[in-house]
Amino acid sequence: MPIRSSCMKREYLRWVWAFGLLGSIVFGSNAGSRTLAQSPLRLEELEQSAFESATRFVQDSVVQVETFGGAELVNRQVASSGPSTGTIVGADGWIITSTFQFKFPPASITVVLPDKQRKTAKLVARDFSRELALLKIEVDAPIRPVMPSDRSGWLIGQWALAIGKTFDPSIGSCSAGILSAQGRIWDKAIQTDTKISPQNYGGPLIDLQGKVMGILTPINPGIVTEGEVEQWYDSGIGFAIPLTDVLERLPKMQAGQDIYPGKVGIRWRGEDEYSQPVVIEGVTPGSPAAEGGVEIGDKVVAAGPSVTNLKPVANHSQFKHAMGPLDAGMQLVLVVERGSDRKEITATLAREMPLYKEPYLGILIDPASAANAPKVSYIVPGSPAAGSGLRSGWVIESINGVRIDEKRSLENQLANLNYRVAVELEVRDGAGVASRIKLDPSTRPEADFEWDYQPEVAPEAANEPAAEPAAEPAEGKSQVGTIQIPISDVKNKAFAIVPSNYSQKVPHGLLVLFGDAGSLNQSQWAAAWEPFAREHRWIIAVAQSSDEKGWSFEEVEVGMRMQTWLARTYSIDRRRIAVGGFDSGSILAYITAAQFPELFRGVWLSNPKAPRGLRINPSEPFKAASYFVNSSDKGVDAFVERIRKNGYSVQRQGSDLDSSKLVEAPLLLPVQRWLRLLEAY
Amino acid sequence: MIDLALRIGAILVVFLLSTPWGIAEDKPSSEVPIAQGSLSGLEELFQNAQRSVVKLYGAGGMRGLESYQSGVVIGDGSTILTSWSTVLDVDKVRVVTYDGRRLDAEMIGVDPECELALLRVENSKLPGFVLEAKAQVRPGQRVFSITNLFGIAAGNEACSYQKGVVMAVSDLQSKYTGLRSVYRGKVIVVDVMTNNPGAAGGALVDLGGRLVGVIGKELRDEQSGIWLNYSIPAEVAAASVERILAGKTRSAGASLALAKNPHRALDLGMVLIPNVIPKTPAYIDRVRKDSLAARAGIEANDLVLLVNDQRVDSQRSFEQILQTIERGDSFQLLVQRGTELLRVQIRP
Repeated sequence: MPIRSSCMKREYLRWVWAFGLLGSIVFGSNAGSRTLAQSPLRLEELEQSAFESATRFVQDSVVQVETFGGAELVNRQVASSGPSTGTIVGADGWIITSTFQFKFPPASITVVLPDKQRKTAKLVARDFSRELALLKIEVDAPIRPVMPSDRSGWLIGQWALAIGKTFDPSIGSCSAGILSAQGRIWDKAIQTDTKISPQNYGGPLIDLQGKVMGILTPINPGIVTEGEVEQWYDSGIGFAIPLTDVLERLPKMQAGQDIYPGKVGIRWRGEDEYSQPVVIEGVTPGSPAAEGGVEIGDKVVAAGPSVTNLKPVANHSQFKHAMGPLDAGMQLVLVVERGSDRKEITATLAREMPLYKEPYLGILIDPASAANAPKVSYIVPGSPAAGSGLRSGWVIESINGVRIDEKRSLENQLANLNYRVAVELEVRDGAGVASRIKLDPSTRPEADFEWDYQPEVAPEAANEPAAEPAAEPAEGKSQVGTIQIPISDVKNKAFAIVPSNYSQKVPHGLLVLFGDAGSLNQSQWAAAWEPFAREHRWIIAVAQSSDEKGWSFEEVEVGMRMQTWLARTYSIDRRRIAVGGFDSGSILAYITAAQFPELFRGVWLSNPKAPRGLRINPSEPFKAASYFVNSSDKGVDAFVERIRKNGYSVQRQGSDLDSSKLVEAPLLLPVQRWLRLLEAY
Repeated sequence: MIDLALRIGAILVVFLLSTPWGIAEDKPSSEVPIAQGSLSGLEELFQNAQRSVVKLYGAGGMRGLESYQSGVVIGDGSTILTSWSTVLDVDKVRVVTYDGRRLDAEMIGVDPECELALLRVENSKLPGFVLEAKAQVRPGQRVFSITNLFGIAAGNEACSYQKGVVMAVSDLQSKYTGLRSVYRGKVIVVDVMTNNPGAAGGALVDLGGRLVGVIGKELRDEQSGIWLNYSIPAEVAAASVERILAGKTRSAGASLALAKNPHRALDLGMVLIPNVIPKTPAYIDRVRKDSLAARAGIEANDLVLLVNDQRVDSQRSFEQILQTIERGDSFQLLVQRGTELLRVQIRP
């Protein structure tokens, strides 16, 4: 028994005693007449009658929910099959259930009441933060809503029963376990070890009195892409949304309003969730945080929905716990330290951030220059920087009066600007003469592929000797040429083209590709890409699908495994990492970029099939990749438009790429020009 | 001197621990007199019940098929009820009793419909479970499984126990479209993983040590990937035993057989919308004049939800269910028209 202290045990036994006895009196269990001392099985019997009576107590408030048609294949599995469960929360026909069956809109939803009446149901609203859905049915007579369990009395380790209605609309199914934890999934859910499966999602988790602690949902900590069917059922872990939190949001949902997680629009420093304080590194232009007056460098020390309900924030994790339960439209109060001041900032959380587009000046920075003194190496013709007076070879010292240093780097400062607002740069020319330059940024142009640029100054890199100095020890040398990338546990083969002039001292660009299906001609790939790789210091990595017919969704991890291995083995420039794919591989490239948006600055989709059901996350600072899409299929245009509408720049080419004729492919040059300009600010 | 002080100190600590205001939490409280007794009571139950569970060894051992399973002794001890499987494909099934004796068993007969088999064993001296035809279970009821799962016990080693509650009593057929089970009748579903390799044929007992079910074979819903942990209820098993003894068993899946001359939606006069996605809903696009469907009152844009209470989640499942109904037979449809649900009888 998972009860640790005997104090708790006593409490719990008293409980079982009370309700067991109640059950046996009310329902006439034959164990009623014996005393505890007389029957050694008494405890088990009391528990049993408590389980049975609690299940019976709630079963008239639990319904069967069925959907008909409309499910689509997700990851080769048909989503939503069989009936699920719902919980009555309003006598006039309000039923809360999980979103599990509604990933794709069904043709019909029906509810079977405990008296076996079948009703058509309307999906009224969804809570996307908690994976809940509210249904409404028309009823002739009031139906019985559940009673909430008093949260303040919950003890970790106390009995909890998961009730479902999939087996029989009249009789509740029961699985028994305990309350495992509270405050899970950023304080949105409670955890239980009762057997949970899609069948009782939407059903209640009850205490031994038959009162409802929470609604079982498929919420889990790692949902990244839409339609992901990764579920944690039958694993000793399951989650429920406390009923009080559901009831609090019921009026809003009854009014037909969906609920979304609240977003504030800040980024903070550091990676360690549990030890580092929340120090603001960036504020999304136009976001609630920006409107509320959050400034870069502010340190968040408390957060909550109101001044009287603040949680202390000492690290990232605590901040996420404070934010987790807050929905879009709710108020957020932040207490921040600014220098020696302490300020209270109030903001209304938003569902989406204002559309973010990365500001663009049209300059390349010499990779060898220091982070606190970025030196312009090239000015893109026709860009905002061209004609502004800025020259290559000049050093940028400040932006809008904020000095550039390690923390406030050119990249960081630019990312936080609104591209519509003019900026003023303090610059110093080659002779050390300072001046100010004003320019109007634009968004990243969508015709990089047209430019036939000539560097005004040859990049430093080109001056390096082609081969490593002979003095360097041979074992320290990295392998160059066409190398095989080791990927264990999967059937995929992958190779990389590392230029012969590779040097560990020069960070290289990295293009990770999901090649077209079937075996690839490595020497042809090398012939096509080696000149570009040499001249501009890039590494091109290509994976082959395990099935000749095409890529399958499960192979998506291959891209990240290639990236990880190459980044560990070679010197890679963070600002020049791109992912791409051919045909069916292009969707995997897209998903890889969507899963790791801060990593990939470029996404190349070659001949993509017009994809459906793909979620496009709006662009954010540092998550604003540039896309290159080539396809003769007009059907792809709608997808391209969706990408653009989410704030990304897209280079669109109307022809397909035949990779069997890669060397003379007319598209190769435009792609390479686009890659070359990826690093531009 | 120091020695003495230490001893006094130690005595004091012991004294403090044993008083109510010390750290006395580990001491059993007078309010819970049953903690110890409860364990011995369960142990007694287990010891009695497991004498009626046997380990069976036979054919198999290849391609993922185990060569062992469990069985329950019933009645006067001369018969063993177990799951009908390839393990039994031998002349003599080896039976290992709770006390480690090895006996040979002969097949009395099988019930293909319930996937149960009855074996005879001579001179077993084993106590048998009473197979109650009226045994009832309820959701929430405490149950224990006693099986030789994974063949973990050998010789006189005790079988394994698992503790759980009854989740539901349900028909296998109606709700689990993704289940490929020969047995389609009533099952007891439990909330613990009882149905493991080697567990089939084991006992499911209640708090009184009574046999309430026989553990079924491993079963997984192919659509959702969920494993189903179920037992065949004692009442079903009792009827099955009677049939076997009377030689009146039926072949499996008779009820599911495809009709020789089945209905087809088109012949009934229903034209469905084009079937383009994996689960195209069974929407009626047009109804042919004077057809059976038209006479029954079906209209264009109706959505078919149920055929004879079987769920239609797509056009494919609609056609599949129709294939099990003979052309001459009448059947019922539940259709949705707007927000209304209508029951319609099709009479050929």
